[in-house]
Amino acid sequence: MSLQLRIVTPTGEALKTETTHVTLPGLNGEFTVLSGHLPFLTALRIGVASYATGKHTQNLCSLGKGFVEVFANQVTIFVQTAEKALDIDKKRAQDALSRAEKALSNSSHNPNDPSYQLLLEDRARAKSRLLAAEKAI
Amino acid sequence: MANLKEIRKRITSVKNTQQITKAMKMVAAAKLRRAQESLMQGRPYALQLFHTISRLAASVEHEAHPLLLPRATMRVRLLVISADRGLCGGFNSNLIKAAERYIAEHKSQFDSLELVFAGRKAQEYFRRRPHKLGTYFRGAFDPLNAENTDKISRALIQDYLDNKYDRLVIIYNEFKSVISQKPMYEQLLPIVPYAEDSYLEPLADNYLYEPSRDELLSYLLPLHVNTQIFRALRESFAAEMGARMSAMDSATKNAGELVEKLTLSFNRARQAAITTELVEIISGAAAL
Repeated sequence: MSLQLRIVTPTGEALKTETTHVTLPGLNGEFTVLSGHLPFLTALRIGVASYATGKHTQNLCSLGKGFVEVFANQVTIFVQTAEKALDIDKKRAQDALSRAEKALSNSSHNPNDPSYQLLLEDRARAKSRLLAAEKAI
Repeated sequence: MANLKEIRKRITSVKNTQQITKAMKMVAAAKLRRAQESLMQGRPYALQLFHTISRLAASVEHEAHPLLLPRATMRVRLLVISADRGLCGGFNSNLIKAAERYIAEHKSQFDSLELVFAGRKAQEYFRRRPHKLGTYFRGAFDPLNAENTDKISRALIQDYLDNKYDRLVIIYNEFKSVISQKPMYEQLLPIVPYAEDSYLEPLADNYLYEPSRDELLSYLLPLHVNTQIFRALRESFAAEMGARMSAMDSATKNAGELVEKLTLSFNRARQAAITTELVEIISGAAAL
């Protein structure tokens, strides 16, 4: 038995594949879904998803904010952005991270300011992209 | 002779019009390609989200979230999505007709009805009608993006939660193909699960939620409404470009036919004039 994994974003379907297991960044920490998992709905943090296909046991994909539904061996991930690790340019990811860091250091540092929250999210996304790119084979 | 000059003038003017319609067709075709692409890319997300929401809505009781709870009163708000611009065949008038039909058929069940708009054309039409008018969301297609959609959906959801109306229905042109659009209406609020969905099998009590069910609901339900409005706007925009492209295509063809006909009658008139002149000269020469 395998899982049907789909990653959809508002700008397109980023991934559709069969997998044996998938590891995701949940709000309360990472978790792994195997086939036969109970129906399940949870919010996701910005981070990296890892899934196994055939010989490659660790394919990575950087995810933006979103959530996942597990239902009848179908794992559907809804995120704002998704990028397969192999498609990420390491150099540009690094640049994006330093840009995000810089913008963050110039910002208000007020946790109630929505633009500050956005900057934090930007940095988290940049970090996860870089992480995915570095770990990719 | 005046006739000749007149025909020549008309040919020039028709040719000019033809150039304009041709250019508009090209522009619409280019925009259509982009609009269609973004529509197709957005569809899986909207559809999958709808499936998930349907499962979720079917497995929790209505009281779990105000956006799911049907209300006893029926103050209806109709969001009419038309185009900002004309010259796109029956695109706007078909939509307006469909909206009028919907209102006529359902009005008896409503306690009240309020029309809100995205797209200038429908707003201009209904302004002169005896319906109650609400917000006109100016610039929804200018540009059509997530931020502008957010503004619309946030306002609509807030009004719903503030108990200003009880049901939200949207009416828009669905993009069937490049040459065909179909007016569709859908109820967005309160959220109703998609009934014919085979996914809707027992969702059981063992469905797990993280963090909590209520937190997830208050995140997912507005997201769903926003996504559906975004999808409807994209459908409408792509359909508009398709409609404009085919309208301008047939206008260009018509202009071509007209030019041919006019050229024919121009040549006939020219020949007739030459013949008359010749006859005059010959009869003049014969009289000498």
